[in-house]
Amino acid sequence: MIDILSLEFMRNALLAALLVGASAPLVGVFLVQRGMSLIGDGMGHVALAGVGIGLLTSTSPVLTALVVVVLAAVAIELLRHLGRTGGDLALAVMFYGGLAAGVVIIAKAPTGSATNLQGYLFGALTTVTRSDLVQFAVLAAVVLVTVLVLRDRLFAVAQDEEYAHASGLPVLATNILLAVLTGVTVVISMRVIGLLLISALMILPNATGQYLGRSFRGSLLWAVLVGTLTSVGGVVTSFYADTPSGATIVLMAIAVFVAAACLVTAVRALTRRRHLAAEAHEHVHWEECGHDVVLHGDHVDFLHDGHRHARHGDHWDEHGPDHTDHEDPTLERSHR
Amino acid sequence: MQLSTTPPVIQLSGAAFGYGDRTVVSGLDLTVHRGEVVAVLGPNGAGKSTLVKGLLGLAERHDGSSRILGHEAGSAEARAGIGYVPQRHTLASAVRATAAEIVTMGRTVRTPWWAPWRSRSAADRSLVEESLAVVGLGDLASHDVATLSGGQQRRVLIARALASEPEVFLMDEPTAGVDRGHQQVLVAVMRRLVERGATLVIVTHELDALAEIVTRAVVVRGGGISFDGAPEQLSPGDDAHAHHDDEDDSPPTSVPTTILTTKGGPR
Repeated sequence: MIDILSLEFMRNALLAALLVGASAPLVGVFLVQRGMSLIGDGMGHVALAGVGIGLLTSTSPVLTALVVVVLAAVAIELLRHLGRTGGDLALAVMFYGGLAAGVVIIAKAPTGSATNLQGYLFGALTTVTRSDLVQFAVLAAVVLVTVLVLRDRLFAVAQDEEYAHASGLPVLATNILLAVLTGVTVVISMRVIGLLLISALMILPNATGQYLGRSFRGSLLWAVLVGTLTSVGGVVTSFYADTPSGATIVLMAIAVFVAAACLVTAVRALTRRRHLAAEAHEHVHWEECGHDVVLHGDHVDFLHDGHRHARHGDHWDEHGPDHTDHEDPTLERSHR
Repeated sequence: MQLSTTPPVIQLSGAAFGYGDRTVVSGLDLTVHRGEVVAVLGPNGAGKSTLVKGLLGLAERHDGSSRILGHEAGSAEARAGIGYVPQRHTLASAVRATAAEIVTMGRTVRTPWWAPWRSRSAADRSLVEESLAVVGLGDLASHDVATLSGGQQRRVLIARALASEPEVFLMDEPTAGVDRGHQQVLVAVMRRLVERGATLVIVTHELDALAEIVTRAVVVRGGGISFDGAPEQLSPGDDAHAHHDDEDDSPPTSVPTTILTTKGGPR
């Protein structure tokens, strides 16, 4: 680890990985919630046109890419909002047009070459400069603060757009903001992960978070932790294994996802307790249902025709001192 | 019915709602006062949903006036008075969310635009807890909504609307697709809302299930209101009639002629 930290470009790369590893899942969770997981991929395509313009005009590619993705983000949400048929095709034109234009412009740019095209597309550790890092840090701070402040609003709009609109939330503005945040995250990622792979870091840690968390908040915290660890871990691995950083990070994120899915499934199977569910239980017990209740440990049982019923998720369980060896034929044995 | 100096909860006069060039419902005259429980009945495609969307400001007003608590429907003030309970088959999405997180949305929509983080204050949290308790789901607050039954999810949606402290609840088919046991609980929950002083406007196919709380029935047919009066006057013994249509592409009608002739009936 010492030798890594003694190299300036690796210190820069690790910091950049930390920034993108934390930002990407934070933005990505709302894309997953809206069922737009792949929009980050399209943004990456468009950003390449911005990079090309930067190289051609000898401006910072980070800044030109930022301008292009922000414009694209606004265009995407307006297209969606207007709901025109053909909006989908317009997106395809924008995304592939951006990618193709980027490749052509970079080939013609004075400082462009096949090597740095590959770097922008798939990430290259040695390309992270000090000035890039400063720009990334500012952008990541903007993303983190915006999501932190507006998380409830982003959640509400992504969860139920109609309700949010009917209740007076600025739905279109919130959606444009999310698209802009997605674009900014794509730009932050362009050195370490690459424009073609960044979408994976927005989505995969959230897929893992869904296995590990029990709430939106809990799942998101897991996703940020997983995103940060796989991003930094991928950079370190890519340094020692001499592999491209972006692809290494993504493979690591997939490995963590598979491990989490297997682990959680195995733990659930092991801790699954046998219990008795009340059969064909149409009546719904609650405070006003008229059945007496008795305290049973940390919950209440409802006394129902000589049985004790306790709520278990979406059904009712048979409880009682002898329910574990109850063989009443009217009960069905089930598993949870 | 309440006489007071405060404006009616809902006041439509000659209102027409639609989308783009298409007017779906027109000539609507309807005044709803505080504490009323109004069932909006009518065949599919008659304009019930458009009426509700118009009240929410989601459909365009093409004519007349529509006011909620004295404010133009769709204005921020009008929206602040409405608790919308949409028709949803499931609350589950691609990401996890607990019942409390869904209900918190009811507070999020009430935060001023310049202070969006405020939906996490202690007062907001206790309102969320209280709302879940009112619908009888206090003990499931931290459960993933995807694991709840359909009826429980409806109660989560009602709690979400309740958390926004509305004057009037607009409910779109709240009892559709839930079993009879849960329908009874939903009706009990609605009764609690009424006891707390709420006004309910319920779009429904099942007046039967809601009979004990509904104080007034409004039938929307053929793009207008064809009946407005006490639910008992809606052909006793058969309150399933309202969801049949007598028009072209809809199922055969069984609407009693009494309803067809009571246009603009007792208010």
